[in-house]
Parts: sequence; structure tokens; C-alpha cells
Amino acid sequence: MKGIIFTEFLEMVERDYGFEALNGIIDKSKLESNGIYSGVGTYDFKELGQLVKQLSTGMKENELLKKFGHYVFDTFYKNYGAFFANIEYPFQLLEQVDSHIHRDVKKLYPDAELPWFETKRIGSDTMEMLYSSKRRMEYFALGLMEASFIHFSINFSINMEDKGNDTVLFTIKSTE
Amino acid sequence: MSSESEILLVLERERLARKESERILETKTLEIYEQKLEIETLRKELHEETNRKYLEISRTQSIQQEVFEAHPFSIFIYSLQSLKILNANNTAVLEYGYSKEEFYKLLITDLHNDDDKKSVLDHIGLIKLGVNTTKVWTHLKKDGSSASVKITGVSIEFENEQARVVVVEDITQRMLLEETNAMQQKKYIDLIDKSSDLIFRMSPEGNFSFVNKVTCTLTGFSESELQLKNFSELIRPDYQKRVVNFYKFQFESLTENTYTEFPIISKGGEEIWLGQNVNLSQNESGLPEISVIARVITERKVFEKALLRSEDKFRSIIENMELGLLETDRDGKIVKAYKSFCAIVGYSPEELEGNYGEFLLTDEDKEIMAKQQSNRRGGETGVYEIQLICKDQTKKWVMISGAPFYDQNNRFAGSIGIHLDISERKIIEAQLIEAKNVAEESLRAKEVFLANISHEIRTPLNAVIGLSQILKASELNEDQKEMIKQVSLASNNLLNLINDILLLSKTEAMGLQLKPSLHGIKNTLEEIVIMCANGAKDKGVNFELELNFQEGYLHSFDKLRFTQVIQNLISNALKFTNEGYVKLSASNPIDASDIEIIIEDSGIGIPEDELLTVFEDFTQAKNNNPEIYGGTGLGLSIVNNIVKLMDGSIHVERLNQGTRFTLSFKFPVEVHQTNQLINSELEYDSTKLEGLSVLVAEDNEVNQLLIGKILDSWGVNFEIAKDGQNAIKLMEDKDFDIVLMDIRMPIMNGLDATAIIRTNLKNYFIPIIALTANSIGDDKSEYLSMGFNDVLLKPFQQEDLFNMLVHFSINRNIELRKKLLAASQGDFGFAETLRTIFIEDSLLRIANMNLAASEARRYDVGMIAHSMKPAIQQLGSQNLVELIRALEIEEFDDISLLPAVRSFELCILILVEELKSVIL
Repeated sequence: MKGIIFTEFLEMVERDYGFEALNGIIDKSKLESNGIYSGVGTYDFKELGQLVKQLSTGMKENELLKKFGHYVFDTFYKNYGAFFANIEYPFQLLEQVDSHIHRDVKKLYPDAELPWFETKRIGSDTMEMLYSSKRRMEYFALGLMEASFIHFSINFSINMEDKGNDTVLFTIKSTE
Repeated sequence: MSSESEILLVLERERLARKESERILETKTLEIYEQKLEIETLRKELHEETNRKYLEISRTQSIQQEVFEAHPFSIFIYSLQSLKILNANNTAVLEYGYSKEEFYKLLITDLHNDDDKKSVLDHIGLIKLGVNTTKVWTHLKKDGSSASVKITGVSIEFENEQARVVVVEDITQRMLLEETNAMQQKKYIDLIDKSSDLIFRMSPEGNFSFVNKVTCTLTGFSESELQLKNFSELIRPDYQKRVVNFYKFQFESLTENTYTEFPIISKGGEEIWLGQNVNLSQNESGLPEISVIARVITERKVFEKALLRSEDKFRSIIENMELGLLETDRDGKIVKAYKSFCAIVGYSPEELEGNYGEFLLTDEDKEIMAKQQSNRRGGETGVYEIQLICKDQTKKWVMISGAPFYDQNNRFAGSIGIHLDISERKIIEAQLIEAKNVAEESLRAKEVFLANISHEIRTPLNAVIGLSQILKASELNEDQKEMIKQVSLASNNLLNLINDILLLSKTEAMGLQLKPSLHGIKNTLEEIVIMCANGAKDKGVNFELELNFQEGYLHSFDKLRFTQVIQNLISNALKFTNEGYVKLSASNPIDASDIEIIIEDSGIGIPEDELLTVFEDFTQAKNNNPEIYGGTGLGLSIVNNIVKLMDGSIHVERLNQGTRFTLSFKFPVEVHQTNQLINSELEYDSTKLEGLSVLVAEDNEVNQLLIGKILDSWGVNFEIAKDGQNAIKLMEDKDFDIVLMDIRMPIMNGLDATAIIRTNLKNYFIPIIALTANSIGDDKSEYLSMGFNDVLLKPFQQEDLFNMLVHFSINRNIELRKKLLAASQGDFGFAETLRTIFIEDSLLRIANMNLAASEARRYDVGMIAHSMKPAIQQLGSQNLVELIRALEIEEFDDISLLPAVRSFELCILILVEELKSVIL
């Protein structure tokens, strides 16, 4: 898993829970990396699970991942503004994840293991998105999606359906 | 607290530094990525370029390989170290006969012969020094043959060796060609040099660029002298301007070829006339040039001048000969009237020239003139006589000799007429014709008179003789008997006298035509002797005969007249001889054609002083008592005349006891035959006529009987027709071979019958022989022209009939063969050709003649006859020659033409058949 996810996660924890809580989680998690991450490095995905697990004592893991999705969206928007240029509507952004964003990620990190997305518009206000990843980070994805609608200030509804084989179908509907 | 916040600040700084370093790292990573991508692209392009180049190279290589193998020249690659042949292309394999494997075992030097090897090695030494060369060598092939080759080479590296690629061009053919070309070029140059014509080239300005030897020789200038000269300088000054203008015109009008004649002056000052052909051309650089071929025509020019002079000379001669000269153009317009002509007609030249001169001619002469004019256009010259109307309207006869003359293109340009004034001659001519007519008229009157008188006298005389004989048989007293005897004697004498006068008049008027034919002279004399022998026996006179001839000849003579002469002399001799002998001796004193006959008797003889006059008319020796010897005194005159007609001589001399007549003749010996042939002819070799079928048209029963007997004895089949009509009827039913046609017959005479046979019967070509007793005016050609093939005079000799039948029934192989060979001068091959040509030609012409005759085109028949005459004269019989002559001169009228032609056709057909059967 990319180091940026770890560094962003740790920053979110530090911001929302404080410096000491962050240290406590790192200590408890008994991480192989000892909690030393670089945004440009690559680290074992299990460590994120261990960290989320330690943190979720107060809330559900899925809720946490979703919250983390909201957080990362803001960071992305700040750091990689280029991706958001010319985007006027959240569907456009979603459609670009696989075709543009992941491709540029691959340029920087050829070893990155990225989830697989497939989008399909089924109406003027509805889009289906098929998510497929062994990491099962669908709630992180959901958080990202929600954050993007919030970013464009558009009302929406998202329905999740597990399709098996590590595949989840999101049906996203703009409710404006 | 301050330290805690300080720590937090430091931490925040560190966190930001980390972020910054991460951002830098990402940027760098991205840059690296971009560079990597670029490198990747470059690598890919490089790879593609490499592949492309590789493909290109391999294709080039295969093309090179193909070019190498299929190159039209042999290509070798050999090692410069070992000299081994490393590669050879397919062309080399084909050219040299070695397989590639065989080549690989050879050194390059093995392709050269031993003599060349050293220089080849030297050459390779040079090559190693880096020299690229092209050189001609001789190469040996596997079969031992050699070729001239041009080798171009370049050094290369081949399979890690210093090697040499050589391209070998076989130039054997080319060298041969070049050699031939060079030879031809040389020949061409030789030709120009050896030409007897001047050949040179020059610029349009007249500057020489080439001259051949003759040009130098003739002009006397050397080649270099000529090249400094201008052509116009050579021309005789008075001609310069003319010639230069002539060529200027040729140049301006771009006339490709011209010819002109002019004189030049040689270095030595000699005048040379040239006939110069000039051809416009271009030289190698494409500039206009003049090619000239000129011929020396000085001699011709001199000759032409001489000709002009001689023409003038002859013109003045003719002018002075008082022959009127007149020149007309092609239309007959008078171009020049000479003084001499003007003198004849009295007009001045100005009055005549430019006119057609029609006022000089009478209307009928205008036609003659027009015909002559058209003949002259056809190139014929003509001599003719016309009358000219003179200015004073008198007429003058002139004889004109007109000849066409031609322009330089040989076209009819006009005529020259030479007029000879023959008015005087015409007057004399007219007088002569009149005199001749008068003479002929009186001669005819004499003949008619004689014929009439003899008839008028003979008729009553026959009555006298006949009645005397009847009277003799009646009851008479002695006196009466004696008187009747005297009447009978006198009347018989008178008849003899009249007969003799008739014969004499015929011989004197030379109206007696001899009819020579072939006979044995010995047989003829024997026959005469047999006739006379009885008379001698009756008188008790010894008749001696001594014949001494060269054996084996037949003579051509008129047997009837000859017999008359000899008979007369013998009967004379017997008459004047009462005891002793009469002797006939004959011999060839010189050769077979010379005949001498001596008739000798022991009678009373002729007195010396009368020997010279015995041959005159009505002369008998004085001591002859007519009452004892009888006779008219005309006998010897007749004999003398006949002998003269036969071109013989007669001579009389007195013997001691008796008289001797010596006769000499020269008869043509026409056929040389063996004894056997003469004998068999005498015995009438009837096998020659066996099976012959003859129609005899004869009204006289005695004659029918006589002819019948004779024909029977020869085994000839015959039928008798009692008149012409009967003859035609018989001929319609049956094919006869020959007709014997009496001329005078009742109902239809022989002439009419013959005309009908020739015109209407399918057997129109049958031979018809006329039987006639007519003897006055018996010109054979008349009968021939009436459609008969020959004439037999009655009373005829059996021999003549026999010969005639033989002539028309069997082929005359031997005679014809002789004629053929004579015509071909003994060349058998040519004789054969002659025969073929004659047969084909004659058949064609006779068919045309037949057509012409059936359309009564007499003139055409004459023309065809004329064209056939030469051949007929060589191969045909005398009859045929006479007939063709008659046809040629258009002797026949429209009615007699067709029969005559058909008779002629028959003769030709017989001749053709005979010719075919001749074995050469």
C-alpha cells in the first residue's frame, strides 16, 4: 500500500485525536515499520488494518474508513489540483479515476497495487460503479465519493451491493 | 510551555520539510519517468530503424546476388593472394562451360593461355598497388575455344580476403564487327580514291573540305592547294557567274540534287568539261555541306560540238540538193520551211511557217498525210508520194521521205520531211504503165486469138478427119481412095501443125509453166525408150541405150516437158534414119545434178550450113522432103524453147554419117535416197497407202475405171462420186482420208463442192486434190487459194498420184526431221524447243486466224499469216508456203477467205501431227 495512505491516515488521527492518541495507536499496533512512513514509499497493507483496528475501538472500522476517505479527498484536492481542473461534476471525476488518476499513479509508482473501477452511466443522473479489490477498501472509496459530491455541493444517494468475488457495485444517484 | 510550543513548531517544520522532500521526489520521479518513456520510445524507434535497415540490406544483397548471377557479362571474384576463383556467376558458367564447383578449383590465371600468364601476373601485381583497370585479354574456355574479352575489375574484401571482382565482356563479335566495319570503311575510301569520278565536299561558300585523288589528278592541284582555293576559282571565267548562281539557287530552293555541266580550267591551263551532280547534305557538326560527284565529259562535249557541226553540214548538203526540206512540230504545224521547199511550192517561208500547210494538199492527200503523221508518232518513217498545190495553183508530184525526230526525253517532237519533185518521173511512169498495159493487152489478145483460132480450126478439122475415115471405109474407086488418102494425110498434117503452133506459142510467150517434181532420171529415160522402141523395131533400126548415172539420187524436173523433148529428138532421129542405129546415152559428167544426154543416129544428117538454123521456127533441112518425112518444122524450135526454159542447153553436130544432139541439164538433187527406196517407190510400196480411204469425184466413166484400177492395185479403199453433190452426200455419211476432186462435173462442179466442204462439213480439213485437164493459166496457187491442197493434171502419171497420196497420208518424218535440224543448226535440244514452240504457237495463231476469217477480217488474217510465214518457210512444204503467201497478201475475197484458211488450217494440223511424230 502506498505510503501516502499511511501518512495521511496518521495525520488525520493526529488532527482528530491528538498527538498522544496517535503515538498510543502506533505503539499498540506493533507495526513492522514502527510507524515510520514516507509518502513515496510502499508498505504492507496489513499495517493499515492494524492501525484502523486499534483506532476503531470507539467507532466501526467501516465508518472510520469512510471518514478517512473524506479526509484523503481534501488532501488530494490540495496536493493534486491538476486532476480537478476541468471537472464540473462528480461523475466526471469518478469516470476519470481509472482512466486518468490511476494511470498517473502508475507513472510514479509502477509497483502500486490499485483497485479496479468500471463506471457506467445508466441515466442522466445515475451512474453505476463496479469496484474490485482484494483489499476490500470499498468504504474508503465510498468516503471519497461522498467527499466529491460534498465538494461540488450536490445532493446524492449511494447504494452499495456486494457482488461477491471482492466486487462491489455502487449505484450513485444525484438527487438535485 | 515555551519549549513545548517550540517543539511543536520544530515538528511542524520537519513535517513540512518531509512533505517538500516528498514533493521534490515525486517531481523527480515523474521527470525520470518521462525520460524513461522518451528513452523507451527512442529505443523502440532505434529497433524499428535497425529492422528496416536490416531488411533493406538483405534485399539489396539479394538484388546484388541476382544482378551478379544474371549479369549479361561473366563476373568472377578471385583472391588476390591465392588467385583462386572464389565466385563466378551463372553467365560465366554458361560462357565458359565450367560448373561453379569446377571454377572454385581453378586459378584466375587458368583462364589465360600460357603466353599471357606472365603479363597477367604482372597485371595483378599492379592491381595490388590499388590500380583499377580495364584491359583486353584472351580467355580460354573449357572446350578449348578462346574469346577476346574486355575485363573491368575492382578490388574488394570478400570473405575476409583481399579479392578482385572482374566483369568480363566478350567482345569477340564486336571486334569482328569493328574489323569488318574498318574494312568496309577502307573499301569505301578506296572506292572514292579509285573512282574515275571527281568526288569532293565543300562548304556552301565553296571551300573544299575533302577531295579525292582523281580531283587532284585532274585539276592538277594538290590536296592542300585545293583546300586553300575556292571552288569557283576553278570554273572557266565565262561560266563562273552562271555556275555560282546555279548553286546559289539550289541552296535557296533547298533542291536536294542537281546536275549541271560546265568547264573548269586545270592548273596546267587545260579545259575540262564536268558533268556535276551536287547533293546538299550536312557535315558531322550538322553544318550545311555540298557533296559533289563530277564526271569528265570533255569528250562528249567535243563530240556534241562535232555533232552539231556535222548536223549543220548535212543540213546544208540536203539544203543544196534541191530536196525540199520541211520541219513540222508534233501537231504537224510547219516550224521551218527551207528555201529548197519554198522553191518547189513557190511560197515564201513566212507564208508557210506557223501554218499547218493544208492549202498545199489535195483532199485525198490530206488523208494520206494524216495517216503518215500518225505513223511517225509511232516512230515509223515513211516514203510516200503526193501532189502539192503550188502557189500558182499548179500541182506537183513529190516523193516525201518523212521521219520523226525526238526531244532529249525521247518524246516525239515533230517530223522532218524531205520532198523530191517527181513530176517528170510521174509523167514517164504514167506513159510506161500505159505502154505496158497496151503490150499486155496485145499479148492477151494474141493468146485469145490463138486459142480461138486453134479451136475454130480444130473443130472443122476433126470433122474432116472423121468424115475422111468414114469415107475410106465406104465403096470407092481407086481414084477416090487415093484422094481420100491424100485428104486424110493432109488433114492429119494440118492438125499436127496446129498443135505444134499452139505449143510453140506457149513456150515462146514463156507462158509455159514448168512443174518440177522428184523423179528418178534413169527411170524416166527408160520409160521414154520403151515408148519409142516399137517405132525403131518397125523400121528395122537398131535402138541402143547406154545409161551411166550415179546411183541413189532423185532429181527435181518437169517430167512431162522433159519427156516431150527427148521423145521429139528420138522420133526425129528415127524419122531420118532408115538403116543403122539410133543411140541414146546419158551420164553425170560432173556430179549427180549434172545430166548430159546424147541422141545420135546414122541417118541422112543435117547439112553443115544449116546446123545453125535448125532450131528456128518452120525450118527443116532443105533436103528434107516433107512428103517423105512429114512434120511441121516446128519440133526443134519447141525442143529448144523447152530446154531453155529448163535452164539447159542443146547442141547439134553433124557426124560422118548421121547427126548428134547433145543436151545438158542441171537439175537440183533434192533427196538422197537409197536404191531400195527408189526401187520400192517404183514398185509403189503399197503398204504406205494400205487402208487409206479415198473419195473420187469424177463424172467421166473411163476415168472412173482408170483411177479405180490404179487405186485397187495399191490396196486403197475408195468410193466414186459422179458429181460434186454426190461427193458431199457421201462425205456426210462417211469419213474419208483424201478427196480426189474433178473440177468439171455436172450438177455441181469441183470448185463449188470444195467450197462447201471447207465451209460446212465437219470433216472440213480433209485433203482435197484437184483433178484437172485445164492447162492454160493453170497456176497451182489459184487452186490452193480455192481450198485445194494440191493439183493433179490429167492425164496424170501414176507415180504423181501415188506420191501425192503418200504425201497426204503418211507422215514425212525423215524430211521434217531434216528441216527441224537444219532450222536448229543441228542442235537437238533446240530442235525440240523449236518443235514445241512451233506447235503451240501455230495452233494458237491458226485459231485466231480461223476466227478472223469467220468474221471476214482479211487484214487480220494477212497479219497472222505474215507472222507465221518465217516458221512455215522453215518447216512447211512448198504448198504451205505458197498458201501462206497468198493469205499474207490478202489475195482472197470475202467468200474464198474462209475455205482458204480452213485448207491452210488442215495443212498446219497435218504438219503439227507430223512434227509430233518426228523422232529426233
